[in-house]
Amino acid sequence: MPDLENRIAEWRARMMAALPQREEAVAELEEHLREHLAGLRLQGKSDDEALALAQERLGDPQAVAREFGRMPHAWRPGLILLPALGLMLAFLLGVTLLNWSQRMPVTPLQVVFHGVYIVGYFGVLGSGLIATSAFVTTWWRPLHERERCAVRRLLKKLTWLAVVLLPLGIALGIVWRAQFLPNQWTQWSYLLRLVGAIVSTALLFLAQSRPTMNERRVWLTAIFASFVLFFSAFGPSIRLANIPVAWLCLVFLLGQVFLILPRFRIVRVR
Amino acid sequence: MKLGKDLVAASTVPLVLAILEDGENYGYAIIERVRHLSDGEMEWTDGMLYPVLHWLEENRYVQTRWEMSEAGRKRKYYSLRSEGRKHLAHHKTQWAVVHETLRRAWRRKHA
Repeated sequence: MPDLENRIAEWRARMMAALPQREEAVAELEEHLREHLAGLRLQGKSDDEALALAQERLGDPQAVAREFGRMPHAWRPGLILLPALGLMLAFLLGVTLLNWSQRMPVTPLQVVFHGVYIVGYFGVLGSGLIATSAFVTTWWRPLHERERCAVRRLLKKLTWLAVVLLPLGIALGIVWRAQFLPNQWTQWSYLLRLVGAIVSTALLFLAQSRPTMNERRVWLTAIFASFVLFFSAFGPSIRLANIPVAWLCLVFLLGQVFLILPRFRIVRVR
Repeated sequence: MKLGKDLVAASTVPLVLAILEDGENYGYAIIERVRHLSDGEMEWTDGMLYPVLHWLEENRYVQTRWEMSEAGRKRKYYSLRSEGRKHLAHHKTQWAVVHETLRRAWRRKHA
């Protein structure tokens, strides 16, 4: 039945075009179409007749989209949070480079390394922020389908940003530091921070790449990843009741690992 | 019989809530149940049910969960929440008033 599947795929594409940001609704409508189709074929209708009848019963995609259009406006988590984070990190980058310029000449490699690293950083911290706001919102109301789709899309984009740019930034940083810190490889705390950042980002990417993973686990993985990076970058400047920041980062890293394990489920008891 | 659009629109929410009051259900089965309850007199455009179901979910009248169907595809099930039961009770009161008023008006006319 490849022809039937192709025609259902075409129908799905038309529905997706009419209902962007409503992947779940389209999946539901497709399930409905298929069930009706199966029933009609059992009644003896041909594939063509059954599909035409089922599509007619479901209605024109534009008409369905108009009905969905009466739904309340979606919450947009990234509209304020991400620009605010971006501004903050840009400010931090500026201050860092200004600081360095007072001690030594600022090289293009230094600017590129810091820029790439900060953008990768933005990816992880941004994911954590979006995931936190989604998590907090679900404590007092469920997210609408469009909101869930918006969160999922944002997290995917930010994770890709982090996965590509953070390791690149780290690599450029190592090259830059090698110029004036030839024995950086003996500084185990520095290396541990780098490894922790990369592992945490990789775990975040792994969580994101599993479509069947529970949403709350993906959000928590993003939150923990942002904690790991935050504490590994600013840890030496923070005093937390004499708790070594490395242990804190390790706890969050282990948390990410447990979240990704398939049997670990977060259930909210109402 | 083709019912008026406004009448169909007005009765959709109380019908869906009443069907869900009997137990958890999913879109296609809800449509079939309406057809059965009305002896085929009420024919909805199936796709119009889903915006209503999503509206009910977003207003916390129903809760949902996804489960694998017998055909191996994911299916979304809806069930009534306590707010949904209150909303249904409110609709029942209103429709009972409308029904009684019409019944009296028509009985008087045809007496």
